[in-house]
Amino acid sequence: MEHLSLEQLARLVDERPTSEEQAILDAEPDLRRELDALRAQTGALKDLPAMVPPPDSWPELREKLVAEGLVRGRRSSPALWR
Amino acid sequence: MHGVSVEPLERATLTVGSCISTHDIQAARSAIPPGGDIEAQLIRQACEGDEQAVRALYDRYSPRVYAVVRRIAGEDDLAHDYAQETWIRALRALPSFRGEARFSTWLHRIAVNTALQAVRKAKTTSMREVPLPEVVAVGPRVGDVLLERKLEQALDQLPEGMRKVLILHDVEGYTHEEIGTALGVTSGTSKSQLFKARAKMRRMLKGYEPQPREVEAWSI
Repeated sequence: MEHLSLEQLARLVDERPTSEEQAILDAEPDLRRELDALRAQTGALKDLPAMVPPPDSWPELREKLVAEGLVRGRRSSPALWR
Repeated sequence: MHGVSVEPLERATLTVGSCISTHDIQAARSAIPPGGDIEAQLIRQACEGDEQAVRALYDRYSPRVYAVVRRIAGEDDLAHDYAQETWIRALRALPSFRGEARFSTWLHRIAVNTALQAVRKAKTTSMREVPLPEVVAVGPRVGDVLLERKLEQALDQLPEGMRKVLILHDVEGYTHEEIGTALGVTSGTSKSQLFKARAKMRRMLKGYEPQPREVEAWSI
């Protein structure tokens, strides 16, 4: 990696290379592979999934919401949408 | 904004403290069309303090909220607090929700702002002693659980400033201008941090590119 740093390659994930940069990429297969890996890494980040919060989150939140007057405190019944 | 348009329950891989069954997720997904009449009704009911409506919205959107605040926070305990604060803020502000944006988009913005403000306030520059990722396959199939874990671990290792920019841009789909506004920096700074973050992630994950499938000698 003599001619383009990893940060420069990281920029090329979503920006067009200059003609000089393109010439370097054309001449350096290792750099092209590294750029491909950076693109793949970026793509994988976009596909990261949602995360279910810890199980005690709702009861704790409900208590706070009731205390704040944002939710009427009443006994839970089976939700309409279930 | 690729991140905003994704329905949370479509991607609700249970990675942290999972307690919701696939059946529950399927039931919630099928019962509340995003942006539909039922959701609008739930929002109206939630405004009036109806617990069932609030719970229904929570069940649908909490994975998405938790994911974004968890990634910005970089640790579970803070994420829990930020997620709870997000919901409290959202319900306080719900009467002002006019439906000009999708509810999921509106809520997501609140989650991002809540987490960013909290991180800024906390100034959590603690040195995490999480072991560096050992293995990752960069460029794998979508839904590769091991890869997802390695990516999440690597994200947690990033310095706070880089992590926030990388998450907002590469995970959540914000533009540099939006990130600049959210973080109080120039778009040039956002870009610079992004490139550094990508490079640092790459260094952490280096050496673990997917290997070509080996062909057993006896099968040739």
